[in-house]
Amino acid sequence: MARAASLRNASLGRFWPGDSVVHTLDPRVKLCSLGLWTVAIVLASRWWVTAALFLLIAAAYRAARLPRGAAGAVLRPVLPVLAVLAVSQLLFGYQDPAMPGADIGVLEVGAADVSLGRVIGAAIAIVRLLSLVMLVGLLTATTSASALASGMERLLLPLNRIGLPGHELALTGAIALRFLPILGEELEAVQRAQLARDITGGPERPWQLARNARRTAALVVPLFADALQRVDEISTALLARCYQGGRGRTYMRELRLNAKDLISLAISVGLLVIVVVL
Amino acid sequence: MEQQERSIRRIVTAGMLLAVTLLLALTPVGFIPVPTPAGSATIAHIPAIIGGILEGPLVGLIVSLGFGFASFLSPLVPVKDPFVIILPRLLIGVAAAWVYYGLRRARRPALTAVLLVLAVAVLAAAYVVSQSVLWLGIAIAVLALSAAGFGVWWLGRGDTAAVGLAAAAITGSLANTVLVLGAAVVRQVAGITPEVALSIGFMQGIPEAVVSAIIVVAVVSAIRQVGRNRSKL
Repeated sequence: MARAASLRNASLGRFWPGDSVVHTLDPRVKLCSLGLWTVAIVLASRWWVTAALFLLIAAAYRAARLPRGAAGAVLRPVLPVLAVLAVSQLLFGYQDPAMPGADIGVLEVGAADVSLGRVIGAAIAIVRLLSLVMLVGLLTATTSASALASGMERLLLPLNRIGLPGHELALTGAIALRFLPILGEELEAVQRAQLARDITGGPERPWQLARNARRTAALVVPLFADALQRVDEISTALLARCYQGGRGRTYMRELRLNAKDLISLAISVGLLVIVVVL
Repeated sequence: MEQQERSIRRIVTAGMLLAVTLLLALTPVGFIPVPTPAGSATIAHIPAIIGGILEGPLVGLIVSLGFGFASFLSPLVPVKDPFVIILPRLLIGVAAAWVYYGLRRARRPALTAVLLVLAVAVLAAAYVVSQSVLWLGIAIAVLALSAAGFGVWWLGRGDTAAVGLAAAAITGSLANTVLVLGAAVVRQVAGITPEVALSIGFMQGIPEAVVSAIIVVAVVSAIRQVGRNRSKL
């Protein structure tokens, strides 16, 4: 049952309404910044750059004035994963010979020889992942789904110029974002129903491949059936409202960049440049 | 009007399958316990395969792109190189769509021939593997022969549609395994040598391919069933 209950929090994170600087930024700027910061986190090769980026993200959480526990709610679902990653990095992780402390032994358990360098490497890997998760969490916590969708659509508009379906791609993304929580609830309901029939309960037995596949199919097939049935309904609804694609469409919410947006975009670009130069 | 309806359907299907992909990639439901060091096989690439089968290569491509981004963002994937994580995965849905549309109208003799060609190809691969690791080569050969025998038995029951679906699912799943590991070797990801990639490929790729075949056949035949019942109403 614990597995079923954890699903509700596992969708991309919830939106906390607010009027902080981070909330009021243009969604296009936030999406671009997410991309720039992600590249910066991935490219950062020195440990102190990774640490500095993490502190900057923590500062952005502070500036967003999210309620107490918002950051915790973002991080809680990934904690077990982080623990597994930490152990595997410590025992089998790639070891950079240039890392300080690579030759200092910390503990030896059987064949595993953990050096200080490997401990530092594991810590960097964890902080990097924490930063990425918190970054995505910050975006979804401060941006409503409709703002995200309109930002995404406006960013994809230039694709129309070169003949690619920018508007259609944006609609696809908007549908995915909109239905993610709904399908999450649906999956939870299916899980409870199958648990009640004692189909998905019981301990994990990795060797029984066919049984595991059947158990997963019992959850996933109804989920797909529900999703594809909704496809019918939504297509009919769009058709009935004479949806004609993006040409000549007007918007309920016009997006305009102001000074604040430009400054934060400049900061993000600058950050990436600094990380690349270092 | 017909044109418009098709295009709306494509957009909406891609969107919904993208949502399912995100759900599977970001929750424990998308991971099946298997007896390998990694401990789990993913099924998050299955929406991409289904998208390719139901609505063609373009929808397959879009959902595959979503799967690539989801695994790029997922904390479960420690490698963060887009050339390894995103680019090779684009072909999952496309390959599945090609195989499915290629086999859709095929009759029993053609499908049997395809099965035989595949079995011979896998046997040749098994021979190459057995040059270095004998038991692994023999295991692959036995597996390939039993899979081909199962396919022929399945065809004998007259279920050609299911065989086409299973072939598409296996192709899509193997495209994921082979291309991602190949890219990891080419890009020299830390810890992935050709030998490691080969062993991950067999231990991870084969269970994933089997599981995707089971689930894709179940889902697509369930969907088709729904459609048939509805049109009767």
